[in-house]
Amino acid sequence: MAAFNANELSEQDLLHSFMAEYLDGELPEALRAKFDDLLKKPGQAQLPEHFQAMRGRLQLSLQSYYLKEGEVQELRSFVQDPTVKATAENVRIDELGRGEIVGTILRRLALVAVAAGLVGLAVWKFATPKAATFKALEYLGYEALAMEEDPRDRLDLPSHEMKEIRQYLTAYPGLEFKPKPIAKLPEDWRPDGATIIDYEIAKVSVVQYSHTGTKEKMFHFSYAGELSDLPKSDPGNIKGLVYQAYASDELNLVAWQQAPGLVSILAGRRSGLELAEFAADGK
Amino acid sequence: MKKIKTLTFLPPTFPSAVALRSVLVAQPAAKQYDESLINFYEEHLVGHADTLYRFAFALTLSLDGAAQCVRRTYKDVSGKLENLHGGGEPNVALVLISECWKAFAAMKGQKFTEGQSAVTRALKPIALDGRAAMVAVDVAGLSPGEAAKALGWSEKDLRHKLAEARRSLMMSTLDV
Repeated sequence: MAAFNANELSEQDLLHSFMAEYLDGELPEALRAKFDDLLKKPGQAQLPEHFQAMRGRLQLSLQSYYLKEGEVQELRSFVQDPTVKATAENVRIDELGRGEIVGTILRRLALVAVAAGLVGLAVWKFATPKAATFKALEYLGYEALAMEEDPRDRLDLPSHEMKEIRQYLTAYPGLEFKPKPIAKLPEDWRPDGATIIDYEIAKVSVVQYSHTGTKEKMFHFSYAGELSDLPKSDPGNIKGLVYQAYASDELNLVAWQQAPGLVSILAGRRSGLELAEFAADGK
Repeated sequence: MKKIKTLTFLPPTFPSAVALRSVLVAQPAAKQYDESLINFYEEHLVGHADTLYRFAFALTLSLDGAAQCVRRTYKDVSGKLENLHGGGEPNVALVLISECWKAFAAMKGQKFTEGQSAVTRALKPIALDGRAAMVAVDVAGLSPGEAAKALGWSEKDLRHKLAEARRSLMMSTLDV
């Protein structure tokens, strides 16, 4: 096809067929001077504005012409059967739905797992055996010091009579073990009384002894448990009493298995060996 | 006793078995397109359907005629999808205007009921070629060079027809 030469057009054809380019600023440079000259002719000055207005009206008028949805669907059907398309879309929707269901199930399972984990943690934290969570050395060491400071007010049964003390301990409601107080005491030692400490997780019986001269105190604690639950310590044996000794800055403690399921601890200011001997002699 | 299937009697207007077979044989098998072609057709070609409908309306001056022309155009184009899609990035508007122009030519002789709208009255005095040139350029957005290519004319011819159509429009009383 031969190259187009705008100069072959009549003046009116040039003016009207290049009007859009003129308005858009895209008129070829070679035509600009001629175009300007044509617009200066009588009656042509308003031509660009009038053209622009009428073209706009044509465009606006035809904007209201459009295909209906059914007609567009028909055009689409030329390359894809609507039933096939609908089936494919349904399959896609089903897949998305299945994915959503699986996602929901997984989310719920994850939530259940988290909840179960929390319950398990709670059970592990609060429902483990008492002996394992009852920190006997720590608690009873503290109790011994507290009772030493306030020897009378902390005793539920102030009594120097071992018989009374035994009865009190035996009769104490809800006590799941039978404590055996150290009964055979050196001459200068006597019982001051007894009490039951209720830690909720464990009940502990306490018998307090004092030296008649110096007022030195010893405390015999008993609770349900196993010696093996206490921290490991080199075992000692005195007069058949197998014990474990523990020491702190202020107190010493010796612990022994008084009976199956029953642990005793004697706490005082004396050495571990002396405490063990006190306990062994008092059986 | 062996059961036999219930016999079905066809209504008198139903084509005979022989005629029915010929009808069935005459139907071409549905063409299968892969997903990329279907997407190309729907997104690029069907996306221009309204523009093409306006061009077709300018040719037929009839809503029904425009719809038929567009339908025929897309049917023709759907048979050339592989070539269209495989040939780089075609000027879709140009291709559709060209195909629509050919489809309209193939519909020659068909009569359509013309509308009475203002735009119909404004377009009716303009010659068919002028309407085609003007709507291809001023409504469909083709450049005069592209429109000339789509309609199979030289650019000089197109510009002459375009200028005549624009002059005619500017003398009309088209209002919106």
